[in-house]
Amino acid sequence: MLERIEAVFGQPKDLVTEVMDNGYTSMELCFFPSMCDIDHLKDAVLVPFSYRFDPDEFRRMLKSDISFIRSDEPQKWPELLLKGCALLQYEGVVYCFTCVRKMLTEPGNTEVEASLQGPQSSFTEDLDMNMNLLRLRYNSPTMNADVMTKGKLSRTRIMIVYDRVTVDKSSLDEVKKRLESIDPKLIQAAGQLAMLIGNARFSMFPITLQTERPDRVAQLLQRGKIALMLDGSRFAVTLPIRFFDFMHAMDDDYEPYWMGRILILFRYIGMMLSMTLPALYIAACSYNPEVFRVQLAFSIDGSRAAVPYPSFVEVFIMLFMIEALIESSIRLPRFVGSTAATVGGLILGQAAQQAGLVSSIMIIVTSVVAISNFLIPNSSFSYSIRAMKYIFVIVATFYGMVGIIVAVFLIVVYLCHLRSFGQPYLAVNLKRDQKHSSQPR
Amino acid sequence: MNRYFYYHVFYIGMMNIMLFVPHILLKHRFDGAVSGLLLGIVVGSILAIGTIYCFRFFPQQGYPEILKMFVPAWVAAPMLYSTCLLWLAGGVLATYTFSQTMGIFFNPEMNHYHFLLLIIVASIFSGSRSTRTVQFSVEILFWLCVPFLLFILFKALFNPYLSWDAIRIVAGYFGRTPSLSVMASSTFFFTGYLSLTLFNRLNPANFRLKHVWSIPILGAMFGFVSFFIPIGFHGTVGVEQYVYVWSVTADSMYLKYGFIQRVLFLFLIMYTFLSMMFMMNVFHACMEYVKASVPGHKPQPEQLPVPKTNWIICGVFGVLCFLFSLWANEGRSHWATEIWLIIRFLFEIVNLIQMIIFAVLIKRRSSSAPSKSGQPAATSGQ
Repeated sequence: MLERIEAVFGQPKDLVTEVMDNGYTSMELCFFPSMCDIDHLKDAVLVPFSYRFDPDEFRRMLKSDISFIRSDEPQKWPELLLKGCALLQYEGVVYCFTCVRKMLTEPGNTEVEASLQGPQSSFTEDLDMNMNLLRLRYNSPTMNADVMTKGKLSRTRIMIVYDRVTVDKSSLDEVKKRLESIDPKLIQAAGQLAMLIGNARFSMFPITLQTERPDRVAQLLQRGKIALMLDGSRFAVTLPIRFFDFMHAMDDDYEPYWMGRILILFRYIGMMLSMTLPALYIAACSYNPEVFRVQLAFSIDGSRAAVPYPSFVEVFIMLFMIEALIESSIRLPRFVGSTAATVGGLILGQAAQQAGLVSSIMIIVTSVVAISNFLIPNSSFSYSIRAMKYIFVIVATFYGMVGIIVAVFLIVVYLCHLRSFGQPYLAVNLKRDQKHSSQPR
Repeated sequence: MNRYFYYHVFYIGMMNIMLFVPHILLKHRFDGAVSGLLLGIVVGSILAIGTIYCFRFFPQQGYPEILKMFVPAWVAAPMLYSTCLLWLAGGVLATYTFSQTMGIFFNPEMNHYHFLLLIIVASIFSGSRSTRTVQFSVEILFWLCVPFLLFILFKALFNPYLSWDAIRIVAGYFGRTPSLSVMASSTFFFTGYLSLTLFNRLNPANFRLKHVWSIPILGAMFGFVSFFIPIGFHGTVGVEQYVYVWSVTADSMYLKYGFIQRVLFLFLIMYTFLSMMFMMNVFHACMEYVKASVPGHKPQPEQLPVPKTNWIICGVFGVLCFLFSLWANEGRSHWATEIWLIIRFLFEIVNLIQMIIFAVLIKRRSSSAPSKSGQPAATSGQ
């Protein structure tokens, strides 16, 4: 066995290949110490083999213990070793002993999708841990999981989880078909997988939802969605998804009904403001001041008195500033991050206006845009909205108010045009339609 | 599925303003407009309900499929083209008027063609989507428009400057015989049912339209509101002075509180949505008719990604819109709209007769050979 393995791997220094002899008999053992749980290996193999050796008991243990799996196919050995198993050859038979070293023993804390009173645990970067978390929440025999390995080099395990009863069959087939068709070299993040199977590289909106919350995945499974989970990512990809799911935070379900509804309403208002406010500012300054109340139009124009360039230049400057600030505060290390925020805030808040580079109303617009964008609970969707506002800005630069309205129209049509794995992305009352008619789509 | 039908009824009923219907009616307010409106309710409802009833014999089929069942392809194609042309003409006229209105009230300094470009690009994009997409968008846009509509209606009806006396005086002139053009205009409020000719494809096989009684009520409401409220604001004589009468009417109201002071802008926002909806549907329906005229075409309500032919056909429509606007001016477009309304009216009557003949034919077929007639319906419904 050892020669075969050395032929495949060469002789890496982190691979242990030993022939062990306890005086009575010998055993060949090889494993990656970095990937295996050494203590476990010692307790389960080395101790019974060395100073508590009893040939009968040892043989019996190898045959009956479920953590020892007989593996007769030499071509599978490298794969097993790389997954963190130890291979041992005893009396001419090769056994695989699973002793994968788990870095994580407890669920993570929610970081991206924090919740006030909901569950605080989140998925981890370990797939088995995640399955545990999910099974705990969705404790039903109907939950089904298919496993798949993707990625030539990363060999990432992917779990396709769904409820056999409620799942939408056509979507499931579509997902499996697409998963089979992809052939990437490395899969390292849930988002990457989502993009690969999403089939719409240039789509302006995400058509899968990534979440780190087991409770959200459980809820979506119950509604017949499919979740994809992969090793090494603390996010699950859920699909097919609808527009409204992105605006839904888990807290909405844990608070009284009307509180939740009101919060959702605020989120939609925030989304609209975040998308259209800079464009409305351009329209109000450069095209249609008469749309707004006279006093308002005057105060907008008055605040621009010192600004030497047209409104759209001003908007682009400020939007660039705020995007730079948001980006830098995400990427910078914690210690420097606060400095960036302070300096940026100071510039945006006071100095730029006093210098006459931007109007004071534009500063309010910028901060409303930034803050209301944070109302959106899902980060990939809020990226989309962030990008969307530039479309509005460009249209408003050329057409003013009418351009904004036509752009709203176009976005509605575009959203209705999108399909998430065969399911409509934006459509209301679909459930009722399906109830009324048995017509297949 | 019922509601999708009524969305179409709704926005086409509202679109009358962009096709000079109130203006035509108001021109004849002392000689036959009121009786025309009343008669229009009867005629329009008969046309609408008759056609709806006939479509019950053709589940899951649009007009092109029905036509192909009964006439050979070389007859069906020109008929489809002429239907397409009729609707496209409506769309082109509406685009022109819409861009004119926006030019006058929103961006007076902007080049007319520059603005037309935006509308046409938006129409091409939205019209080339799949039928189901159009259906969904209509629903969302309808709900976007409803608050504006209710608000403006509320604002108008409870306005202290609305003179009910003027309305009463004009309403008294109901004894005159209406002209053809008045009849054509007053039946336009009901034209929304024609969406069934295409969107019936999406309706399930067991589909029965409910609440048919609401069609006369809705149409009558649209008719009365768009005819009488301008009279109430501008007086019995003053109304005649305005071509874009509803924009001016909306401008007669104002909001005391709020960011926006003039109701005109709310009105224009709503009409931008409505006109774009109309354009989307016109482009889409015409495109589907053109595609269906090819023999052996299979209708596909759901197509992703959007095929190139869609873009090309809609692009051609867009070019036609441009060409029309090169020729048109206010007077010409007005004249063309009036003629278009009359042709449309006649077409609807012919269409109803045609549908009745088809319905009778299919009934006979199914009673004589039930197994034979079931087959084509099943294959073309897919």
